[in-house]
Amino acid sequence: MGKYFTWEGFFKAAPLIIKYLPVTLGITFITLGIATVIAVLVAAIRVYKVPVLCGICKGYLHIIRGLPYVVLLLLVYYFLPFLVFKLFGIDINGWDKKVFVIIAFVIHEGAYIGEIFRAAVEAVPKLQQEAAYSVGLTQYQAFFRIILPQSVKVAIPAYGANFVELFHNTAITYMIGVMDFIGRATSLGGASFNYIETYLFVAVVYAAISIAIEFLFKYVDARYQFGAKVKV
Amino acid sequence: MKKFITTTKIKKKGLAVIMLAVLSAGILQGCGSNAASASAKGKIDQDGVVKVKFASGTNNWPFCYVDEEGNPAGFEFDLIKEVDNLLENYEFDITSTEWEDLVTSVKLGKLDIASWTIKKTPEREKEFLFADEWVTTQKFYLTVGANNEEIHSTDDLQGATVDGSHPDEYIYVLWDKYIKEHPEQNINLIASGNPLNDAGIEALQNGSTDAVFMDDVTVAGQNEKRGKVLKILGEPVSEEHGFYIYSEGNEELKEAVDEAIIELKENGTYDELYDKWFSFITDELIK
Repeated sequence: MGKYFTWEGFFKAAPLIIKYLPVTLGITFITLGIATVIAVLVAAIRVYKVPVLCGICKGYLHIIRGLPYVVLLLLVYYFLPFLVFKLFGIDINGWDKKVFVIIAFVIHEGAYIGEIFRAAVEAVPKLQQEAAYSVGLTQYQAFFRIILPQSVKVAIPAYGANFVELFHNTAITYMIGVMDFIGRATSLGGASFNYIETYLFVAVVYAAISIAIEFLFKYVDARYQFGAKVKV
Repeated sequence: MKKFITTTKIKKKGLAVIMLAVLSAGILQGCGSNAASASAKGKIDQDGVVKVKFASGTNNWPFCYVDEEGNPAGFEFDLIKEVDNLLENYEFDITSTEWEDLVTSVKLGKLDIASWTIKKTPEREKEFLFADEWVTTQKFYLTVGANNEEIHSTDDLQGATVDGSHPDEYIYVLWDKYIKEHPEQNINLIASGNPLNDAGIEALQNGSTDAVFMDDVTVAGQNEKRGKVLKILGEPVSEEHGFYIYSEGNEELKEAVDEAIIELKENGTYDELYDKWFSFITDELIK
């Protein structure tokens, strides 16, 4: 392996690749932010069984959960422009590729996080809601003051795990030519033939950030123990 | 009763899925006819300059790669910039992308023109509008690990394991053809995905792969960057040209670019660029 791996190659590749980490992180955070909003709506519609919309959401979840990330990304990138053009006569082919990536990931994450939120809300015992009503709280007050704080606690670990998974899954964006963290590593490997060095550096950074995110969510989870000692 | 309701629900779901599939198929069918209109092709600015979207690859040094500053670089990009300089009525938006995206984007009209040492095959010519004028040349040789003393020519390939990279790739087609012509040699053709990455080169070094077909530029590039790891044997088994491919409806652009390429070959610019990127190839480096 000696001739295929050199620390010189590793440290030469590192600064060139790391410059593209903000692209990957940007896609991850923007996706997570928008997907969380959509997920709350999806979960609320499902929990309160809003007529018509509940059926649409169920269909959305069934379809999206049956699609691999990469298929959804390719569909959005190649098919969405045609759909938009056909329906509205607008040419969106010129949009930044990262926009298509974020749309695809938001569609995917909206479904997955929506299910996490729905399960979390439904995990709070019905008695809590009934108790809230018995002391005169409205449905709105009962949800935001009683149900939501408890369901957030339930959702935190799964939401954190999903966050890490999303961060990992952004690795496929280079497939459509987005020069992100992985895209730069791949192109650099191809130009310098230092594949092992570039991918090892990428692995180190991915692992470090993933561990940091996991610790962050463990800490937040521990903070939500309501009175229990914080232990991370 | 419950069973009836469940059955009805399943039927409704099934119907919904079928309707969705039919709707999608209808829209998809429409895609082809609208491909040209939905693409960026033919966008003309106020000065009458036609905007053209061009892309080449990201990881095929020295043909096309991404330099240390993160910009597209290599022979393919330099050549298209010269074409852009010659064609006053066109303005090229030059980017780099991955192979799968490159060909799909041309097919769907997201790109007007693409290049990545693309060889003509009957199948590809059915799918794409190919240029008439070639832009790259590659000579393919039987290639083995630099330490291989057992194979000196294709006569020594009896029972050998050879790497075709990927069934989509030209070198796989070359091997496929060779094996059909020489069934008595019992050659085992594998598709590793990339015989030029670390694992592929190591396989050639340690003998788990015996030989590949490789072009001299690639062999020279590998030896230049890694030290002497490969060597070519004998004369070229094939010489192939690479061409630009165009999305549907770009015949006029194709004619203009073809003329520009001819002019660049005639006025010496093409040779200058060729020397700039490929003069590092020497016999000592590849044999």
